[in-house]
Amino acid sequence: MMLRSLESKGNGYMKKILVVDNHPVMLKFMSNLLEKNGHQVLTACDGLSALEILNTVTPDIMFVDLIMPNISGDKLCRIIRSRPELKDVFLVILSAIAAEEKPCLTDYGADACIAKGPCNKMAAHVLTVLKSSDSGRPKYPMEKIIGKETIYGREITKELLASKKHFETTLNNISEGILGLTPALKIVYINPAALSIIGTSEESILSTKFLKLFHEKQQRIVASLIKEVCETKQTMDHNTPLELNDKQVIFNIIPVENDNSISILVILKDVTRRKQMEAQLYHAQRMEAIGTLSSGVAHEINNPINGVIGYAEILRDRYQELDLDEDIPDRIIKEADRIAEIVKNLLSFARDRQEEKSTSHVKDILSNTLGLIERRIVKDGIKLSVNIIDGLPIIQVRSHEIQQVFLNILSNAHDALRERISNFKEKDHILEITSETIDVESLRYVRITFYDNGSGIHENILNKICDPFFSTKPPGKGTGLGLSISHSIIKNHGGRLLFDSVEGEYTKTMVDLPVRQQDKN
Amino acid sequence: MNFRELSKALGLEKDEYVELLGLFVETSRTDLLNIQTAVAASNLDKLARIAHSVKGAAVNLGLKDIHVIADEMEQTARNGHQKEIFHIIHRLEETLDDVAGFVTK
Repeated sequence: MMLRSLESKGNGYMKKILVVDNHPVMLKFMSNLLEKNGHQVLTACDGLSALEILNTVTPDIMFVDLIMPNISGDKLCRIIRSRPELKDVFLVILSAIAAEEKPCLTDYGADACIAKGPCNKMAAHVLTVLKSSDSGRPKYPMEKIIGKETIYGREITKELLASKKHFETTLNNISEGILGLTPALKIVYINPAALSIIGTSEESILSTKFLKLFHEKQQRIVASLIKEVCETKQTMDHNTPLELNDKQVIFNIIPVENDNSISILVILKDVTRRKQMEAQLYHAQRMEAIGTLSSGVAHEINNPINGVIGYAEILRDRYQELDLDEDIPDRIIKEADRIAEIVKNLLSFARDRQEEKSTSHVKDILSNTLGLIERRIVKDGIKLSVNIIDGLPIIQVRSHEIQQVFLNILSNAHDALRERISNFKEKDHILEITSETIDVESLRYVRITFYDNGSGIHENILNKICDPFFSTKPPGKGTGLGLSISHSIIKNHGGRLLFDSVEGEYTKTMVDLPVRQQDKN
Repeated sequence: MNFRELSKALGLEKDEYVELLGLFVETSRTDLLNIQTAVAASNLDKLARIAHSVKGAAVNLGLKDIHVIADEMEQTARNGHQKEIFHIIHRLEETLDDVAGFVTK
């Protein structure tokens, strides 16, 4: 980069020119020609090395070949046009394929196009274009391809283009993300699937370092994997997902042996959805295990607790007979009752329901539930709006269980709103109940949505709120069983209990209950 | 081949033309090695690409013989006729030697 010292703009006619071509003869010919005409010349043998030069030097003009290894000419042009500091560079495509297929200059952001041919013809064309560049970049690119008539080997070049197109189409439409890396791990190829996984544009990612895509901790893992691949020259399938743009990604690393170096091909697969489903399955299994365990424990506790309560009652009677004022037996009974209540809840969480379901209307179940709690909600200054549409399909449920679920959700919403009321007195506090019919995987459900703009749920605990004994309420206020029981009730009904929340903003609890089969249509 | 006339026709000084030819011979010898490796590995696609590149430079320098041979090589590779390639490689080698002989003179 000895040219830096010459960067003075003294000579108006002297231009700084970068020539990018992979054939040494072309580079030499162009350097000689341009230097003879009093210009400074820099050369690069592919798109990647051109970009490296462009990091420190801004040329006035660039001559770019189209078919090159390590970032082809068309991509190089697009990258240049995406960089504001290079917007004034006069771009000339200098390529043999220019004669076969009219390159879309506007797409590439190029200003002129010269077809390759014998030296004398090319020299004349290059000098003509140089002259026209004196007046700066044209508003519209020169449509005519200069020197087209001197072109050779039309048919063959066309075949070259056709086979290139075939591969490009394949790579553009495959669902796996594919990246090509140089031995120094710079990205020189990326297909659309990989762009969408990484969430970026081709212009901004080409020529950047592959490792930079990952978090710092994972960079080391990826680096050592690639190192191993280079050493063993064996393809590696990495099936432990790594995080990339908030997605879970697994990948294959494939070594591609060149003459004296190894470049790398990376195939990315987005497994975010699969991992989520696995996590859900795992969660469901864990819940079931807890259920089985807790029903066993509950039965074991129930008997001694009944004993404790019985003996405490005997004690109380004896004190009464002796006319002594002693409240300890009552306290024992009260505490034992609390244990009994928890055990009862545990059992209802775990128990397999045998009771028959009956046809019901959501509206009826909801109004029964609201009868129990409405007064308390409204008393706290909460705007309660119930909007259950008429003509909802009939559901087949054990209505007292569904009522228990509704009651649970409503009192959670009530608590969340009360927490907010104490902080923001002046705001509106809303509890809204709506209904709709939805279809999921060809099954029809009635969905009841409970919306409150209360304290919300932190995203870190959103997936834990249905776990037994998980509670955010102060000790003694909640058992941590409400939602786990609700969850198991809804699950036993073949329905779904879903949450959506932003902490400090709102919580939306959705109960989906399957419509009775014959009412589907 | 009359290189003096060729350089004149291409509008180049003789010295410069010789320099470019030297570079061409040097590059093409490496290309030839790569062509041989490609044939050995039955990688005709790669072979065609190299032949294409040799052909392009030959056109730049007005080397008609090499242009024709490289063109033939590219087509033969594209058509998958691996056996015939060896013969063409040999011809390319010989013609390159001719050019090289001129350069060193």
